[in-house]
Parts: sequence; structure tokens; C-alpha cells
Amino acid sequence: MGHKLGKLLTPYLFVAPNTLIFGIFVVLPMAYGLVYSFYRGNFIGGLQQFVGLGNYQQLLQDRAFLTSLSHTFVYVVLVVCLVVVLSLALAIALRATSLGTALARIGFYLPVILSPVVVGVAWRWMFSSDLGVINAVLSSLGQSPIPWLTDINWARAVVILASVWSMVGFYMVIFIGGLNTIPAELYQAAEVDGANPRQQFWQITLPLLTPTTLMVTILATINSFKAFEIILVLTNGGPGDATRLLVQNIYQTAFEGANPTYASAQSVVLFGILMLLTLVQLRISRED
Amino acid sequence: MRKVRLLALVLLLCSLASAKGTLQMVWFTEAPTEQAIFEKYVRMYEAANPDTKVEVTYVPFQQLTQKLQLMVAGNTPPDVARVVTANIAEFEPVALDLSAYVDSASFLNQFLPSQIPYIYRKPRIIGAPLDVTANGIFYNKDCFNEAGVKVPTNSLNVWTWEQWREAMNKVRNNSKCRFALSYDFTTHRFSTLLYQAGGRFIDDSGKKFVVDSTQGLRTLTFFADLFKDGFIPKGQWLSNDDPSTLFRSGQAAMYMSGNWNLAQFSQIKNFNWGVMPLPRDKFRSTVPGGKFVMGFRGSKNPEEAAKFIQWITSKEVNLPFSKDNMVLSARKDAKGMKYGQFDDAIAVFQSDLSVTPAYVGKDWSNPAIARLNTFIRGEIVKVLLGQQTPKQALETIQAEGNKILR
Repeated sequence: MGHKLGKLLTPYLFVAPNTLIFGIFVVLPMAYGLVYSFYRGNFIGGLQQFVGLGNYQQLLQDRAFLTSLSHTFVYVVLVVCLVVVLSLALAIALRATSLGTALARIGFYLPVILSPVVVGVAWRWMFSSDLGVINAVLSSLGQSPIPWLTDINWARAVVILASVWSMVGFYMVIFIGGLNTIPAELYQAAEVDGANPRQQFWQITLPLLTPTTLMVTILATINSFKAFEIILVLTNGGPGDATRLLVQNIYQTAFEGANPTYASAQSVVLFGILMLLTLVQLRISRED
Repeated sequence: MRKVRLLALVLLLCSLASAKGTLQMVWFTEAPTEQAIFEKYVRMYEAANPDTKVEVTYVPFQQLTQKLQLMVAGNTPPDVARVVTANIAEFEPVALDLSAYVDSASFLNQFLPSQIPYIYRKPRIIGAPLDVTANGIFYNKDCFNEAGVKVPTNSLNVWTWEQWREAMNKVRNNSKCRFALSYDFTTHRFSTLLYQAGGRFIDDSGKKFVVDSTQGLRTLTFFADLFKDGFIPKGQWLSNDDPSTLFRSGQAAMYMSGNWNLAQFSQIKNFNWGVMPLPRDKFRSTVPGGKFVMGFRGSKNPEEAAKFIQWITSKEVNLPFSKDNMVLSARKDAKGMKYGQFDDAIAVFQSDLSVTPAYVGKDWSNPAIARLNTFIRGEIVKVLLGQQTPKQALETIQAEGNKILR
């Protein structure tokens, strides 16, 4: 009997530590966040008044929230498109194994292991309008400086480029893994049939990489929705609110506006979006 | 048996050691010199109070508010924290009431009247002032000499805004300084101009925003023009570039900040610098502020916290502490204190403080300003970006302010 019970419990005991950590550090704060979002309150007085969906109704008319949400969608679409295309291109270019490609892979992967804060500081050091290296070089060449971080459009471009640069190496590695699963015989047969490299890419590589591409797209989308540190350091959401995304808006609402319950409602919206994306990912991977 | 006894003895000693009271502090620092100086005073306090151990968590100023908010929300407030004017207003509801530990009248009577509105919420005393701050302008003497521009030397001949602007133009065009003016990215520093123009945020009743005025409009228009005409580098207000760095690297001729920079600017070796009296418009004015120490209700050692606050703000400790940090003590008996090489600079800050209207401190001790700080700054930035007119910005600030005051 005891032996049977032990056998029954063993798998649960194995997952218990992880479940406990996940419960304390993820599920519990999430539950708290959900409860907070139905209240009005602050850090000092705690939860003061139950407002039901009041915070969510307010969100629908909150210009700062809606702007940051729309910025986030634009940012995610552009970053994900660039990340997918560039990481695939890099994976194809660096697929072969040689010393040169190995070094290049390391080079492109390096930003992934850097702290986002370091990436933000480095890009800021390069692109700062008044103190940046690039403008200093332009000035020394007699060119007029470019308002990289003080013009809305330039700042958005720099933020997107910095984000892509910091992510592309990671997805390149995934694509290389995907490329290596495509049997070489297919390319050999296509070559015998007279297919040129372009035709091989469109007819063999891309269709067989579909699962990998989908995974990369969804992972990059989820990560882009959570973008925060690089942008905080690089532009602090500026100029104005031109590069302020949802997570930064949540952070500022909570701490600078001292309104944690309203920020919780925004977090729940972000959670909903991410949950939806995750469900899509699960559905797709199940179909595969 | 002997082992058991030995173990018991060790446990007893351990429990005695832990009986020593631990005073938890959150201390923010701005200048790199501040931590070492404060450590010295912590050791002095521990030496004078052998039963107390002080544990200090140092945080950069930018993280102070968030740190305290989270500690208070988690019911683990520190015993003592060093805070600024905006914090003392925000944390007033959970502040330790010092009036339970001191004789209120004689305690308050030690400090300059300008600091009392921040700490005294009759009958509660919610903190104690460590030092007085004043906004002011640092300038690069080398660039001004090179451009042949003489700065006002005393309070009788301070520049008008127009003269100040003219000086910016000359020094930028005729010296190695690439920029005329570095300007801290804060509502507080912006408000210096508002008060000089005769404007203010909140009226005397403390219940109505009045920033949407002709004075407010003149201020914001003048300020936006300084960016438009390239006197202030846009990056400082649009992309968070550090204004202090631009001044310290010798690229900006002036820096609108405050007296708390004296200690770190004493390290500047590549050019000579000084402090000039603030320009005037309708009035002369700076913005008085300060650094404070406060305790928190529900902390572990309120009595010890009150004791430390009294100690650090006492004459015997606060005067040398202020001198070490090169800051203006908030004590009345600090008048005439000498700072050596910085006496001239400090005299300029003191002169600006002495002519500042009383309502300026009242404005900044109103919790509504603490809450709107970032919002106001954001509205000014929209003007700088051309997304709205100064008038629209003032209307929005006023409407939002009145919403909070209601």
C-alpha cells in the first residue's frame, strides 16, 4: 500500500519545487494583480475602494494608455518582421560550418547575452544627439548632426534597430537548428532538376521551415510586447511619449503616478494579449 | 552534558548579540562623495550608542521613491529615510510623528522658517530638515571670459531674462562652449522661471491651480524659445541626456541646477566655474527645497529612529555634516557658517533664497505638486515638440491639477 502511494506521489514530488517557486513568484503576484485591478488605492493607503471594472472603463478613455498600446502594436509588427527576415537571412548565410561563420555567429549572438541595460547605454552613447559618437563623427566630417533621439521618427527607428540588434542572434540560432533538419537530398535532387538557389529557397527551405518560422514569430512577438529596459535607458520613452510602450506606461503609472491599482488593470490587459498569443502558439504547435 | 551547556552558552550569547537594536535606514545619494561622509557619521552614532547597530541601504536618487513606495506597501518601512520635498509630502500619511518624542515648539524653533511648512502638519511633526537647497546657475568662467561676458556679481545688478538670453547668445557664439545652457529635466527647475515671472502653481488657499495665467504663459513661451533657438540642447528634455555631464565636460556655458552639486563640482579640474545670481523677471526668486530625514509609522524601532533624527539634525552634528557635504544647513544657528573655497558660491544661493517669495515653498509642500511632477514635465515636453501650444499645456496642467486638489 505504502509502496503504491509512494509511486503515485513520486512524480508530484519531483515537480513540487518548481510548482512552489512558480506559484509563489508567478501565480500569486498575478492573482494579486488581478485583485488590485478591481480596486482604487495607492502604496500608502493600500486598497481603498472596490470599483469593479471602473479601472478598465477608465482605460478606454486614457490617452496615455491607448497611445502606448498603439505604439506597442506598431513596434511589435516592425520588430518581429525585421527579426524574422534578418535572423533567417543570417542563418542561411552562416549555416555552413567554418571558422569564419563560427566567429560571425558568435558576433551576432553576443548582444543576446548582454544585459538590456548595457545595450541601451551603448546605443545611447552612439546615438545621443548632443553627446553621441555618431554625431561627433558627422560633425568632424563637416556634416550636420542628425537628431537621432530628439526627433520622433528617428528615435522610433533607433529604438527598433536597437531591439532587433539585441534579439536577432537568438532567433538566428533557432533558424540554423531548423535549417539543419532539412535533408540535404532535397537540395541535391532540386539541383539535378535544374533549380537555382532562389527557387530552392522558395520551394524547399521556406516551406520546410514553416514550423520554425512560426515559433520564431510568436516568441519574438511575445518578447517584443514585453520590451522595456532597452527603451527606458535609450530614450526613456521619449521624445515626449513617442517611444513609450505599454510596459513603461504600466511602470510609470504605478511608481511615478503612485497608482498601482490602475497600473494593475493595464498589466491584466497586457497579460490577456500575451495569453492569447500563447494560446495561438500552442494551437499551431499542436497542429504541427 | 558539557557540550549541551556550551551550546546553551553560545545560544545565549547569540541572542544577546541580536538584542542589540538595529536601525534600518534608506539613504539616497546624488554625489559620489556623500556615502563615505554619511558612513563616518553612522560610525559616530554607533560609537555614541553602543546598543544600536545602523544598517544603511544606499540608493541612487532616481530609485528612492520606488524603494520607499514598495517598502511601505509591503509593511516593511525603514526606520529612517533621507528624502526630498516631494517625498515628505507623499509619505506624510505614514510618517512617524516626532511630536511624541520631542518638545514641538523648541524642536521646530531650531530650523529656518522656510523649512517648517514641509515638516509641520499641526500638531504632527513629520520629519526634520537636514539641509536647505536652492536652485541656481553654475557657469563656466573660462567660456564667459573668452566671450568677454561679465556675469552679475551681486544682487543689485542681476540680469533680466532678456539680458540673460543676450549673454547666452554671446557666450555660445564666442567661446569654446558649444551650448549656452544645460537645464535639469525637472518641473522643479522649470518652476524657477515661473516664480520669477510672478506666476505660481497653486493659489493661497492651497485648493486651486492658477498656473494658466499670463505669467505662466510668458514663462513657458520663454522657456520653449530657449530650446527653439538652440540655447538649451534638446536632448536634455527630449531624450533624457544628462545636463550635468554636458556642463562638467566643459561643453555647456551654464547649468541650471542647484547648490547640492557643489561637492561633486569641486572635482572639476579642466575649467574654472562659479555660481551666478539667478536672473529676474518680475521678481527675483529661486525655489527653496531641502533634504529631510523622516521616520515611518509601523517601523521596527520608532523610538530609536526619533533619537537618530534628533541627533543628525542637532547643532553639534548637523553643522559639521553640512560643511562636509558643502550644503546649507537648515538650522538657524548655521548663519554665517564658513565653507572655505565655496563661500562665494554659497553666498549667491543664500542671497537668492533671501528674496524668494514665501508662497514658493508652500507650492512645493503641497502633495498635489508631488503627484503632478512628471505630468507637468510631460506637458512641457509636448510644447517643445510642437505638439501643443504653451497655452494648451497650461490649460491641461491646470485642469489635471484641479482634479487632484478636488
